[in-house]
Amino acid sequence: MFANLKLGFRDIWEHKFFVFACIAFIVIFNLIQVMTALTLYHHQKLKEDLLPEVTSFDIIYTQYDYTYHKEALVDIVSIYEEGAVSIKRSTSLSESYARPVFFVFGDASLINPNISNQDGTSVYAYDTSLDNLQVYGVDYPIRNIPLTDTYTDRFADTYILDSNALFVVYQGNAIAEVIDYLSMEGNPNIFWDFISNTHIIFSDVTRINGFKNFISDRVDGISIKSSFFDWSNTRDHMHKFLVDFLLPLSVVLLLIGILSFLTIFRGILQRMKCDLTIHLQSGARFRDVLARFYVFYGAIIAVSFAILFLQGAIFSLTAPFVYTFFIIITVSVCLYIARALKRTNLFDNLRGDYV
Amino acid sequence: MRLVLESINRIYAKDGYKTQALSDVSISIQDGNQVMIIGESGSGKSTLLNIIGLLDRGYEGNYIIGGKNAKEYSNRDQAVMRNKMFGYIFQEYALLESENVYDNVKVPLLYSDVKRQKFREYIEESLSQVGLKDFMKKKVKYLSGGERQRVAIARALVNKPKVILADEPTGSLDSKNRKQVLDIIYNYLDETRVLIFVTHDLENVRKGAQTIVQLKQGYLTVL
Repeated sequence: MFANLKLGFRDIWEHKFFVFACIAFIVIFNLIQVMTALTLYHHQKLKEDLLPEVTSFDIIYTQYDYTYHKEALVDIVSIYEEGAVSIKRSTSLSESYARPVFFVFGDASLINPNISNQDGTSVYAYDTSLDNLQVYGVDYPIRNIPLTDTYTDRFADTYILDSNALFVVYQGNAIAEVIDYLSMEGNPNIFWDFISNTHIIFSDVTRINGFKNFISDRVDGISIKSSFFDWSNTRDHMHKFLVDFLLPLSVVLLLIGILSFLTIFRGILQRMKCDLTIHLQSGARFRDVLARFYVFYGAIIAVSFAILFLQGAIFSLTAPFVYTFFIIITVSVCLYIARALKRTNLFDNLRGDYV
Repeated sequence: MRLVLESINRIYAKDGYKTQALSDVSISIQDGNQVMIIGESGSGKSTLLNIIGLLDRGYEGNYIIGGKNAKEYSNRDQAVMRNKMFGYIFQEYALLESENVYDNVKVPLLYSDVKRQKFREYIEESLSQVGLKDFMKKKVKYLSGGERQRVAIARALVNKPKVILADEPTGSLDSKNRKQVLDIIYNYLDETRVLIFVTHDLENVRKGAQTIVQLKQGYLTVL
């Protein structure tokens, strides 16, 4: 056995370029596979993570000014009943109370699940230093919500996480009334702010389409350049790239690898035939020849595996793939070599005088 | 050990063509026999030698070794016989070109029951027989034709085989080297050892009881 081991290593040295090429191929192939699998995994995970989240919209002017009617405002309220919210910091109230004060229109549970979704106006705060908040002449009692429950990554304005922040929540018809009121009372851009700060649950396509249709059909002068749909398309392109390009590339690489292996294996067998014949006529058995080949190809597989291991390509996420690949390639190579050697007459070069 | 071939036929088939290499060949070889096989190229000499040396199993007929049909021996037994019983010498040397003389002669010992510690002793003895003891570390690719053939003979003799199978061993050598090689082979022989010698040239025939057979288009005739 030791002799076969030694002969196997001698074969490796004599065919070092083939060995190097094989190792390089296996390592590169596995890295491509690992990267593809990881990208697909992260892509899928990202998709899963983001689906329950919210999307926002880019609003652009299409005319010098825009116009809308109050009736239209009443109609849009239904969109904000659930799964849609618009949030805008009130400059005047923030200055008055020396803390961030937000107007929240619609389903405020998207900001913090402890805010109940009910018609009318209500005020929420994280801290308990204030009991009441006066908004446009009306006192509202302040209800407390825990800061820790606030969704941190849905909204760009990080002040919503300020421990002093106050949330004036308008729901139902109160939305239309307060927007109309504010636009009449010297804040003409409140509708623009309301629209442009709208966030809707990402998966709620019906609501998103309803919002888009409202803007295009009921408001003149502004339009939506929806980042949601662009982003969705981008994701589709990524998916398309992975599935339509990377996966076929892997399959093609695998086929090229198998074909190259078979061709080179036959070449090496041909080159080694005289050597093997000498050993066989000197008393080697079939299993000795097989053992030599197993040492040869076993070393290639083992070194490739070691390189991948040392590169850190084998970890919990990729291990099943890499292990499966190596088990399949080891078993396939072993079976193929045994079969190919059995079907090869290693004495046929003794016919005539040309050993 | 008696070697008996009875009605041996060997047909090579390739690409749909069949070639009858041996036709109904029968011969019996006793201990101490020297059998010279002569014949033209393609007459089946090497094929016969390969069948006798258990290198070719695709024949029809019976080949009896020590009273038992060769095909009844297991693969393992046949390998052991190739290792211990037969010593092969080919015209084109059949050496491992990238190895040195020592490693070439060592090959049969790798598969024998000789202990690793004894390898050197065996190899030195065998190389002394062929006069190449000082060439042990030299790569065979740097040796002359005559030296190469002597290395091949040293390898064939290292396990002290009973049967020497020589396939045109002097075919590529000049007269001086031919004499040297023949001397080595004939000096190895004794009353029990068998030589089966394939040759074109009857000058290779030396002393002792010799059977000369001729192969012509696969048919064997005792001369």
